[in-house]
Amino acid sequence: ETFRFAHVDPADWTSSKKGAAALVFKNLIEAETEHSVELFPAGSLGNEDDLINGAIDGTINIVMVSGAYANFCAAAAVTDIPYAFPTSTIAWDVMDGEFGTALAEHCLDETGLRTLAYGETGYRHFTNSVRPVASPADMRGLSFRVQTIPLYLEMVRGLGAEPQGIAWGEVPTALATGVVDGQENPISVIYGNNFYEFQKYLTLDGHVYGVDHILINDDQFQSLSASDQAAFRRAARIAGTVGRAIQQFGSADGVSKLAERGMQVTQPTPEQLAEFRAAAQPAVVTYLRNELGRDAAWIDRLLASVDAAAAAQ
Amino acid sequence: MSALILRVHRYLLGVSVFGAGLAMAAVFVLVFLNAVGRYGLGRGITWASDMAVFMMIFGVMLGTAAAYLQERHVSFSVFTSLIPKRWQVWHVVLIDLVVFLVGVGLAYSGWEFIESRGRMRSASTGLRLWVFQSSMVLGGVLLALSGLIMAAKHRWTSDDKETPA
Amino acid sequence: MMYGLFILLLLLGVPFAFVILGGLLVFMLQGDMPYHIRIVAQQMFGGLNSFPLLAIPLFILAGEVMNEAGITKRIIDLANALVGRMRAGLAQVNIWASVLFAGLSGSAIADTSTLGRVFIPEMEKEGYPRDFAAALTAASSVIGPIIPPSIPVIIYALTVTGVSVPALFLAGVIPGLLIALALSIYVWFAAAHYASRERRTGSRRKAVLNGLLPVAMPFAVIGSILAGIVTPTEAAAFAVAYALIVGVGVYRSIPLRRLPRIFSRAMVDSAVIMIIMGAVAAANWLLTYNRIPNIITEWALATVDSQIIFLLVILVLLLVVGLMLEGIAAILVLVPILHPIAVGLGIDPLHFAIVVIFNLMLGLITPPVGLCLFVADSVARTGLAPIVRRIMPMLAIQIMVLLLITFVPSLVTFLPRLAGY
Ligand code: NA
Ligand code: NA
Repeated sequence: ETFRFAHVDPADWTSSKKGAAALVFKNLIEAETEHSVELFPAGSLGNEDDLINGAIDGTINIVMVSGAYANFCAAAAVTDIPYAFPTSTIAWDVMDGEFGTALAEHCLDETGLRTLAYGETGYRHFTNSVRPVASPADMRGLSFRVQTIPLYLEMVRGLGAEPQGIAWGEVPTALATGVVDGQENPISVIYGNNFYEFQKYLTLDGHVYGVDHILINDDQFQSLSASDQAAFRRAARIAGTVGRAIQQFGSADGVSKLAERGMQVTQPTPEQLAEFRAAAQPAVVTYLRNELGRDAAWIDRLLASVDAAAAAQ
Repeated sequence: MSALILRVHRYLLGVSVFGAGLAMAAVFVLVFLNAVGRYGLGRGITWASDMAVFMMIFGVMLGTAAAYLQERHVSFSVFTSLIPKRWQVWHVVLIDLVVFLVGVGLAYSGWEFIESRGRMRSASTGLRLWVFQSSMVLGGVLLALSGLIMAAKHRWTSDDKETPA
Repeated sequence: MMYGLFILLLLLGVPFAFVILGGLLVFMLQGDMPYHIRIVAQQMFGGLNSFPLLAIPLFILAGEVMNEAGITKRIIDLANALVGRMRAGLAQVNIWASVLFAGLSGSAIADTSTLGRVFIPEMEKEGYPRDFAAALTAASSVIGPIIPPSIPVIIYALTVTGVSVPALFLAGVIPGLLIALALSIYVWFAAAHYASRERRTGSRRKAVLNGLLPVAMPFAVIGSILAGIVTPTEAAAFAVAYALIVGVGVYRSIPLRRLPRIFSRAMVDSAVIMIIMGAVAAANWLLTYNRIPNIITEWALATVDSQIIFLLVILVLLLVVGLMLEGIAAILVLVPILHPIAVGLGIDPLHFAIVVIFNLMLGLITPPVGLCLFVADSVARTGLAPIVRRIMPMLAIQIMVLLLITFVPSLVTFLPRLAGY
């Protein structure tokens, strides 16, 4: 049987986390089982919402998606709470541990999609063209482009800055003309889109840790033999791990390249990061509690899991 | 009969043309004000871009029906000129009926689309997506009606064509 | 089965958009589980749900408003002041007015119908045969969608990744001027003997001053896009605002009560193009899902290994396709397949884009179904055959220009490279 695996990132495995993950998955499945995998990278079957819809319908079998999953399983939004994960290694322990398993089960009930494994899109950081930002006090009065998503708007307002929802295609223009002072994205996106041409200051605040979900239509998963199911789980876990590795490599490499291109990089101290967290988190948590209703328990569950994982490390 | 057909045609055309014009005006006002706000005042309207796109989709669906009522769509007409004269009326009526069926299919497809995706929210406007997805149903229904009325018009009214008995 | 239905509906003369939608709807209704009737509306909605697409209705609206504002006459006067005293004066004016008009409008059809209404009677009065005037009007209208702004260019840039609207706009400037120059030389030799009367060009100074306001507009709009100050969509909205201010305020040539009709017409004109875009988006989903573009690309790259051979094949293919299919529909259907092959062969994407667009735009003036020929005939009312006979040498000249830009890529890529794209 042929399985269609779709995502929205580029295909090149050396620079694209989802591209690398998808390729590893394909190679492992084709080596270890009778099945084959066809890759549809770079959004060729649509944006993330389309892909998830397609997986629910069964037109696509496997998808690797990030933030958009919260549009289908609302509880998944809690991983986007700003400053929730202090480090990547804590995030891995939380998502691969009891919390991630429970969230996957909950979302399976809501969507009919089984989470085979998690990867990461990594931390998002602020850049701007006005001044170095080391604490929320430095953010005051600046305007930042964000995706038109309430959680991001609340976060930037909480930090004392002015959020502006601007469509992705217009971001370079908005930065070049000074319509906004700054923006926020993962390092790979900042570097890949040459934002250093318009932005002088980079703050490594890591406000949101992006989770990648590797999802399969559960009906199709159940139709596999037990040994194939095990192979799919194993391949997905390796794929997620490879995706995380490529992402970590790209981010570390990207920060030094951005510095070479003349960006001034600011790493806030732990005390300053605590200030960021204190300013942004309550506003978003209040908003999310309202929005999630019954699912709001997932907020506390996440924060408790993070504390436990941090204590264990 | 002929007068009634022409009246229904005029009414349908009026509705779709008016709606298309309204959508065009909304698109212009939203994009223009958002741009002025952004470049002039330093802050845009968060939901304006998405709303403009949705208005454009409504405009396209209404305009599609209007253009059919005015016989303005692009078609491949190399072989149609070879059709013998006495069949010509039946030929255009056949096309109209095909378009009627396409309209029905599109409306049904749009309905199924809303059934499965309508409850999701658009993040920027906060509205349920069925509000915008209904453009597909509306466009399909208007197109089906346009196909029917054009079939009637081609069959029973004579502008300068001879009407077969 | 679906392809059979496609071909049947197409030959029957069902409008192109409904051929695609009809075929898809039937296919999805019968298809097994992954296929579902819902997917047609879903993919069409998704295909139209895009901010850059807004540039299309807005540029069409800007063109309609400027037309209503009486800018056409000022442009013709300006062209007359600039080239009206040359050999074959009024024929030259016809060509160069199209160049100026091209800066305002993105569509060859608008150019043919608007300028044709003025030039066909005027040229006949000066001694040019009516069918010649109609042919020249149609031939020179091809300049409209090559010189920015351009609807086909915007659609091309939306269809593939990796080419931007500003870069493509710049890439079209030199080829557009080359077409004008080539036609200009042709009428210099071939049409001067028609002009039986001495030309009176009136006050040059006045014509230039009157023409400044309308001609300043494309420079402002295109300049702001090229400078990266505004997106094409926003520039189109500013162009509409400018045209409204000029037409309603400065010239007072558009009464306010006429506005609703102008807005309606712009959206209906846009819908004719965009319903095809929506239908093709739905069809492309099905093709991509079955990896058909990949399969064709892999096959072509394994078969063709020379840029020159590929470009020659494309020239012939597109000229043939252009005989039968409207240009924008052809861009939507063919470019997603051809572009990756061209990139795979190392052809500059900007160069390839302009070659394809120019090639398909020639379809507008190629018999038997060139739309601009029909439009020119609807104004001239001489019948299609004499116009076709007159346009043949002009078409041959334009094909020579096409060959020139095909094999001298720097004519296309020079300006975009200069601007840093
Ligand atoms: Na143009
Ligand atoms: Na002309």
